[in-house]
Amino acid sequence: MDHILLVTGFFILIVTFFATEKSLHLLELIFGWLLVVILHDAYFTLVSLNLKMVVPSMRLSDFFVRIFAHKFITPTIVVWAVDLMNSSRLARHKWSWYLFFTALLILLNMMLRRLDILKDASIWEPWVTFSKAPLLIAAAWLAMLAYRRVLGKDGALHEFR
Amino acid sequence: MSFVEFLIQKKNVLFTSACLIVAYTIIWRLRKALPASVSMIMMLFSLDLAFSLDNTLGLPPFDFYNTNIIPSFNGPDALTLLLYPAFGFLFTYFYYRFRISGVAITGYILLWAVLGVCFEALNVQFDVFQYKGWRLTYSFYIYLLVQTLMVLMYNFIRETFVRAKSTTNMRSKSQWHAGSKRY
Repeated sequence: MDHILLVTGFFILIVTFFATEKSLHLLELIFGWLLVVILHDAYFTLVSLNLKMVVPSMRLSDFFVRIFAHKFITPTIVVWAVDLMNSSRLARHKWSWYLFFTALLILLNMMLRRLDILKDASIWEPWVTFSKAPLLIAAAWLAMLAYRRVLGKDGALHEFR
Repeated sequence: MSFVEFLIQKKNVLFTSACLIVAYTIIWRLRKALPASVSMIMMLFSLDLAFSLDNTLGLPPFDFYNTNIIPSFNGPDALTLLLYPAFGFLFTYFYYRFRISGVAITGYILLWAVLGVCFEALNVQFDVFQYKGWRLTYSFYIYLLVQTLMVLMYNFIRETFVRAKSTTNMRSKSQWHAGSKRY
């Protein structure tokens, strides 16, 4: 039941993301999405395979939920955060979106643990979970800013917003 | 340890390094053929697919193969991963350069799938991959799927880029005629 609720939540999030208007260019959104998947993959490989801090569940249903969360939900949240931060004019609005989406990412991570899709090893440090979310959004934001300059140089962006 | 033993022990790293040097030298010479924003997305997409497949097929519950002998992420693994964007770039470059379209797309995908399998077989010989139940035939199917996705992605990105560029040019012209000082 918990899995069904979680996956339903995932679908609502994705449909809402695609249904709302974006301030970023489509190429920027795609670039951001791909980048987040790579960063998240690198992070997950390090903590699960090298540091053995996280043990992914061996059940096939859990495996698919984890892949869906890592490849679709995490990038959606991060790209959405960057898009709303980009469209906000005031700094406090940018910070509010940043904190809101950081909290959302942490919540997603905690739900995956609550449902035993990811299991913490005894050496797991909670600060690693909490530091990943803000760093991921900040890294994606910086990289997408750099990509915007490349798009501008290629003549595909009307103006730098 | 003699020099020959060292070479044998590190043959996976040496092979990957040699491939990287060759691939990125070619890319450096061809880098201006495609817009940088398009190349970056195609290279990222290629890396994404490879990394994602490694993280799903190479890790439990499947765990079909190891990369670079040690079953953890290390320096040689990072080098191996750097090869995928290079292949993504070359795949896109030749697709664009030879204006592949229609039935030729099928032939192009098949050709790259065969090239991919041959290159992977070389990688297996040099201990870059160690199979644990995986087979080259499975790789062939994976390459067919991945390269089809690459073609679809490139066509979509190209259309989006051309549309964006033409919109920008139209806006520039209209503002130019209106006497705008923004340009």
